[in-house]
Amino acid sequence: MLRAALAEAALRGQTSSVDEERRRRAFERLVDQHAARVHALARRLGPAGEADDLVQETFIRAWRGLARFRRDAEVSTWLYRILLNACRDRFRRRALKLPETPERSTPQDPARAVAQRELVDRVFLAVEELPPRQREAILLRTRAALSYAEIATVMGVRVGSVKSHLVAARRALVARFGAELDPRTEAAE
Amino acid sequence: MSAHPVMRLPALLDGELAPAEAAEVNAHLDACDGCRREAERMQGLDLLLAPREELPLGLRTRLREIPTQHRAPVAVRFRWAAAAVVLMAVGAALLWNRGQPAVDSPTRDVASTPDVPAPISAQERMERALVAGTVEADAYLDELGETILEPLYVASASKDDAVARAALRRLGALGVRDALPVLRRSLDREALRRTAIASLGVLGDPRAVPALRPFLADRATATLAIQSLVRIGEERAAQALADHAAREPGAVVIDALGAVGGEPAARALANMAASGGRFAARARLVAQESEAVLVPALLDVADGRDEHDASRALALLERLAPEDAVRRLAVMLERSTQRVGAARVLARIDSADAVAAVLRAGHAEDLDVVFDGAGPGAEAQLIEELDARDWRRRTRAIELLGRCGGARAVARLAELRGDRALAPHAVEALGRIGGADAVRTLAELGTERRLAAEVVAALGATGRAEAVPEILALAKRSRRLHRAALDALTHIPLPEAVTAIVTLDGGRHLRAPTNHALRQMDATLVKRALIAMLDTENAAGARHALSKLTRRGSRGAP
Repeated sequence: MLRAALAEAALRGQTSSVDEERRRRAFERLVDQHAARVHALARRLGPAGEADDLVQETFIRAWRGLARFRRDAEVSTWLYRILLNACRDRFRRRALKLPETPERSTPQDPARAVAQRELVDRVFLAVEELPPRQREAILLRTRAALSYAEIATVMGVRVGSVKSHLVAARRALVARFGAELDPRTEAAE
Repeated sequence: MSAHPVMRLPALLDGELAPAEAAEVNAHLDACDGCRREAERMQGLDLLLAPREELPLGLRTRLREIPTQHRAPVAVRFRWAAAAVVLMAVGAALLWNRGQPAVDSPTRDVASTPDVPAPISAQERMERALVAGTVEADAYLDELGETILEPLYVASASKDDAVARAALRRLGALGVRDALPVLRRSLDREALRRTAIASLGVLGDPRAVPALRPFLADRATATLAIQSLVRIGEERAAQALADHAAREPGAVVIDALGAVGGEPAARALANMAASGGRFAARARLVAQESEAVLVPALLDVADGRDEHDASRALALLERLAPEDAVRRLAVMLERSTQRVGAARVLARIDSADAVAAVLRAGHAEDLDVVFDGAGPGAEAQLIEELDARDWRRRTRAIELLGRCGGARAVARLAELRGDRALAPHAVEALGRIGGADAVRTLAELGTERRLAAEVVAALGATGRAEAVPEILALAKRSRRLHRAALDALTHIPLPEAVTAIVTLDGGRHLRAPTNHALRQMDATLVKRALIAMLDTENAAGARHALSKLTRRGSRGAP
């Protein structure tokens, strides 16, 4: 049994080496193009402090699935879908309420960064308190910059639902933070 | 104007509206301030949520290496096969290793018997002693004295990670300045990185700071790098920690800032303490030990252009009430944005200078509020101000005494009864001060006919039970005072006041002004008081009032 399996492995290795190399290059391209955005999303979508792990898990799953994947156009939505499922899995497994993860890079002025961060943290805390689908929709939109159609594919819902989730999420947050969201002169860094 | 397209704003901002529809919503936004503000806030929200952070150090490399570590399984059987290959490899490696001498097993022998002639080079002997870590080995290494340096540099580049690490540790501990480039170079080798970071700290050379900075950003090495920077402890190190704290505040870096001290650290702590964020309390705690540096740093933030930060810094200064900050705060009174905050701190400092500075800031109602509950220093300064020549200054001092006066103010205000212009202000201030003393003084002032109406109102403003009989007494003097008394009593939220209002009316059927007065008060209080009155001589009036209130289905519980 073991010997048969080994033989098969050896055989696979020989026959697919070219494919493998090509796949590896495609994978590296995938990492270069999407890792940053996937990570940015994972920081807020998944449990606190697990972003690195989640991204790694996502790309491992992607690597394993790459052989079955063909069309380039949907690669990003496919990746985000893997990530979303991984995040949902983790929350489900732990039934964990995620605390804030204040990690971000800083503009030049530390004082303003600290103040701004405080608001950012509160906003993300509020995002975490949104109903799960609203939270996912707004994070996919703002952190991964996906279109409504892409969000719908990733979440496995219809575009109409995406729209209403986004309206509800944004209105709730705007109502909650009100004037604090008014564009301050340098708020955009 | 068409209905507000609030539901379509997100789609507009996301570029998901059809052109015609987008034009329509945009046209509405041009005309409607409310919707435009909502849209701007949604944009502000998106800006806050947008990612700004970079991929953590090393993660991209780890991700790119996934194909070398994870085979892409084609079928389940294949996965089994892969596992088998790994197992075989591990087994083979173990067998091979058993045949080989383990890294440090012969070392101990050599080190413990350094004189035994062995077919190994001096370099090799030193390296074995390095990793042995026994007392004998250390003694041997110490004996080598300065001659150890060259072999150590060589060992630090050894392919054997254990040897290289031991060499780096030794180099750091020896504190030789020349070790710096070697340690710095070793940062590039992943297996040596942690040791190199720690050894740079032990070495304590501030020139290592730039090389350490990048490792603050990597979670895996951040704590180690922070510890090393604390050990280096020079201003450049403090600055690196401060920068890191601004980027990623946390308990470890805050404690590190406290430990490293100095100007940049104090400033970073002040910023964090003022931020009100998650770590503000800790930063404050750590910073308090160096208040001398904290206060100037906070003043800088308070004086800065960012209103948000400034107000937080001022709030913190208010708690610290630093007496030596009066002059700088006084300057801030001239700025429109920070003046109230600065005034608040000054009022809290409560020295004559501080209060005088606020008073000098002119006739500014926005500053008056800072005197609410200010201390005895403010009271003293304001009492002094009562002797000012300018009547406007005197008037203002009287008003402000109403906000923060105590027993001394009451006595001094009573003395103003003879001043036709100021006496009404003084009476009003006494009402604001409240308290038994003020009520007694007001009762005395009530004997002056021209002040009586003001006294009645002020007695009401005290909100005290003792004021009720005084108001009743004054009310009997004239119809005008009777009306004023009704009004004053409504400001006293006590059953005594309700009883007094009904008593003032005296009739079986209450008059309209009486009913009106009762309706000004808390309905529950009024009902309770009226029910209690049903057993007294004024039962008829109370019953009438109750029936009126019930019929109106007025506020409050029955």
